[in-house]
Amino acid sequence: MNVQVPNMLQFFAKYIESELGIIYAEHNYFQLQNRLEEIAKLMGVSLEKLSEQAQSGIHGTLKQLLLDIATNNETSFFRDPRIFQAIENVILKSNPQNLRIWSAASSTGQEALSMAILIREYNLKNAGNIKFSILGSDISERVLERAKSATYTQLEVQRGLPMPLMIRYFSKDNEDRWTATAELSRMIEYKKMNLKDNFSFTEKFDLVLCRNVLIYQNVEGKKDILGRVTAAMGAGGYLILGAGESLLGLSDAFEQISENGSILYRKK
Amino acid sequence: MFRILIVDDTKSVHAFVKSLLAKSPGLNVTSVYNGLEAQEILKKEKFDLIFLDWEMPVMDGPTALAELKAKGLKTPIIMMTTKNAPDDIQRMLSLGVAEYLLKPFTIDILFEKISYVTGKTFECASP
Repeated sequence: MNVQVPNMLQFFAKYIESELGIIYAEHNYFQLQNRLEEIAKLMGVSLEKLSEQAQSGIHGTLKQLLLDIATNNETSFFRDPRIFQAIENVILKSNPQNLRIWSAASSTGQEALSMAILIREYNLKNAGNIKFSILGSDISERVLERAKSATYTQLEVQRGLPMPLMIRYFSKDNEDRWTATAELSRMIEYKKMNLKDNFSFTEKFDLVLCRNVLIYQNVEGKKDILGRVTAAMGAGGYLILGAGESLLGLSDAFEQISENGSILYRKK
Repeated sequence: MFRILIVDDTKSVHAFVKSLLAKSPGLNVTSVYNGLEAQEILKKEKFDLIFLDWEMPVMDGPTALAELKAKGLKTPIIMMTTKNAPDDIQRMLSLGVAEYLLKPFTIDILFEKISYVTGKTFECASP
């Protein structure tokens, strides 16, 4: 590794931490470097040139790309299928009339669409009539544009989605891209949001999926985000965190419900 | 040992799927080149899962599928093909394929399909 590289990585790591609260440990700097190399390639400059450019100010495309890579937009449909089964068992089976759902780090929309499919399928199988609306939010404009298009490559659409659901809820175009049907898309609204900023909503959410967000934050950052998310939820609302995350030592506003090997947090 | 039969006329597909599956403990992979060979080997040997290509010489996938189902074969079949028209997919699902895998695919998708169909999770080794 070039001797200049660690300083440069430190510079970018500090920037990402100050903007997003996401901390890159030094042993993960190689990931950051790989991602910076991708950005340099996209912008058609060398890594050194990119670094020089950044030292004189980070804005515009460079800023957006940095935020994109830092928030790691890899996802699949029904990521961690057990949690979706748990949502069905605990929340859908309680037969709510109306669910307001927030996919708080929606990335390219697979989580929001998975929720829409889960409820549609539940309604179909149980002659149910659970009404719902979903807000998807993300800090990255690029991924939100993709989420709004609800269009995926054939590889992306296969990831996590059994074929019967894929052909029921997606249609294919001539270039082998698959787009979610309007009956799903119209249930979902997307909005650009940084969870570290102040935010408020006019109506409270019944279910918030905030998975793999807190894991990147320091304790203060976790509490800060959790406080605002909690305020956006109604009493009895459910919070879902990533499989490796917990509220331990961060919040006592929730009771923990274990279901199907997963944990749901219910607001007291 | 969980036994998988690959029915595909392309050698490179055999090699690719075998290389993906071979690193996972507990999986044993056998491959044949067309529907007729599949029928022959299924008379003698038992498998837990079959990957079946659509377009093959001698006997194609849909014909093999229909005949195997008519003979009462219960082994789950995953259609593995480039044919991606929703009508074709729907037709195969109606004929009783347990899942449908579109080529090209990656190792995570391959293992997901195995998991949907068998309820078993195998360790997904890096290719």
